[in-house]
Amino acid sequence: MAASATVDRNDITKVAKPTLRRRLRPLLKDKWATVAVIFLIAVVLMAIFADMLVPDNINSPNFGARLLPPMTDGHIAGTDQLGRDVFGRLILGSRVSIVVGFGTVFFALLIGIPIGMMAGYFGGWFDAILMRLVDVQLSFPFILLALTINAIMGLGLKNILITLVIVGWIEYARIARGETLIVREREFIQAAHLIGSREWVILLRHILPNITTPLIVIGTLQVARFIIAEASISFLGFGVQPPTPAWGSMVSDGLKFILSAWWLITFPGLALALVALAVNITGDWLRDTLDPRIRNR
Amino acid sequence: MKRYVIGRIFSGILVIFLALTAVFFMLRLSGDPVLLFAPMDTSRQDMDAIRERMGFNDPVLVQYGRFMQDAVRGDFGDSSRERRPAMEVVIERLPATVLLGTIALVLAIAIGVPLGILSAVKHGSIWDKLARLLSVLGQAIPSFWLGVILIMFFSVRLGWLPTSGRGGWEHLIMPAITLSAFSMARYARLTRSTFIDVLGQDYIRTARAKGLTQSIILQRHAFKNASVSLITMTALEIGNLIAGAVVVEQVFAWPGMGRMMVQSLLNRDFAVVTAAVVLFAAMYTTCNIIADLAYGWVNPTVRLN
Repeated sequence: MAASATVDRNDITKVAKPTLRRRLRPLLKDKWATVAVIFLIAVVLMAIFADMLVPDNINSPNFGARLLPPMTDGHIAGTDQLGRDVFGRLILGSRVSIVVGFGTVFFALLIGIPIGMMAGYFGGWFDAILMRLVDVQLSFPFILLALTINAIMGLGLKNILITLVIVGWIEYARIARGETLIVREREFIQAAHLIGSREWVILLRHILPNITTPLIVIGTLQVARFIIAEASISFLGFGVQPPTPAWGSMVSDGLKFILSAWWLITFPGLALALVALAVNITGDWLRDTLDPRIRNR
Repeated sequence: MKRYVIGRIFSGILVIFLALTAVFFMLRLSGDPVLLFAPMDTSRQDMDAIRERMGFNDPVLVQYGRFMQDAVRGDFGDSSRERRPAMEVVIERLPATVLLGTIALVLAIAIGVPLGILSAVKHGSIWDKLARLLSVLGQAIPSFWLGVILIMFFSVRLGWLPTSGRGGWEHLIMPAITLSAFSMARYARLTRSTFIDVLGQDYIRTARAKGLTQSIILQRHAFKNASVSLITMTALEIGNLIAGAVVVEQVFAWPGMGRMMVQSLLNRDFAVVTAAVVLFAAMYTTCNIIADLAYGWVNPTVRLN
């Protein structure tokens, strides 16, 4: 009898600590999500190791090889008006999209979560100011605000990142505030108060872990939004400047050759769409597994 | 109700006031304002003259007061490029943007909503899969790229449609499709999930049990209840369309406010930028108020306060 009880307890420990494979099982069941996650990991790796993947002279002109169509002389995606390899520039350009997409969400969460939590938890004038800021921000189309700030601050990768964080953090502050308002009323927060926990301990140890899930899910879905926003801004001639390749500006550069070189326009846009698609599918999957209740947001 | 409307209008005005303040301080605190208002190749003396004439030597708060006073009267200064009032320059472009945006919105609703309903009613069928694929793609494809690809196919390759500019209805087709694609995808997605929700409700089962036909159930029972979330979304979509117009107008050289704004940013004509930002914010806020009111009207259980 005693022996069998030990066996049971062992079984329970096994269930309580899922192996990596168990954790991944729901992901592997959804084959689209599997493909999307693998694709995203590949793109992120590509962005990290871009320097090793492309030759050093990728941005220097080679006038002997101008506007070669795809699949000629080893240029998988052809060459541009300066004879530069389009595929290599696409790989290098992934850096801008990945840095801006994930970087914006990271910093926006870093700023938005504490501010939103404090507004939701303490209320008062701090909350009132935040809500007015939210109103102002909601009364502006996102891209307009980003364009204006970017034009004033100056161009370049760093500034576009700062711009998007300035525009983006309020959204997360709003969500963190809303979630905090809900969690604040739960019994375990009252219990924490009763045993004399300090406010910042309650905020960090009890509220923060309970509001992160929706923020992570929405943050993931927003990565695609920021990637497309950056590309649109670069397409319009702001943002990242030459010779650094960015997918958005590669499309606008290709416009001059719309009559002769379809590949200059097609491939960077395709890359953008694929990455955005993969991020959205991953985000949807995260939402379904982690937090089904925000399905329709 | 009346009090609510008045309250909303006041908060709308407050928002525009705050927006103006934000724009003012962003422009002034970002360095020498003369550099923002003068052309690139202005000489030092000219710059000093401009500085004096525009009052940049006064304390910031005095400048702010003057800016606000002028703004209340609709005066945002003169366009440095066109040498006439900035608001006039922007207002001229308003009809083109409203026309493009309206057609795109109609297109998005007329295609997105039925697609979503079809997808929900034939849940799991090939139609459902197709609609979901379209809505996923519509949200992932950047609008500027979609526009350029359409130009490449229908104008350059096939020669069916004009590449850009404003003219007859044929000039509207590609910009409207491009602008509506993202909204269409969102309508399809939201309609689908709302209808799946609504069609699972008890009163729909009751209606079925009474022997009502599918079309009557959809029209009378499902659609009315689903329309609440669609109306809320429409206000947000109008905002998305305005924002999208900034990019799409540039792709198709459509002479609207969005293109005006981008051109002014590139030319550093910040009087026009300020006027455009204020007008955009006013339009956007108005749409939000209308959506709130419509929401209460469609769903009387929602109390406005």
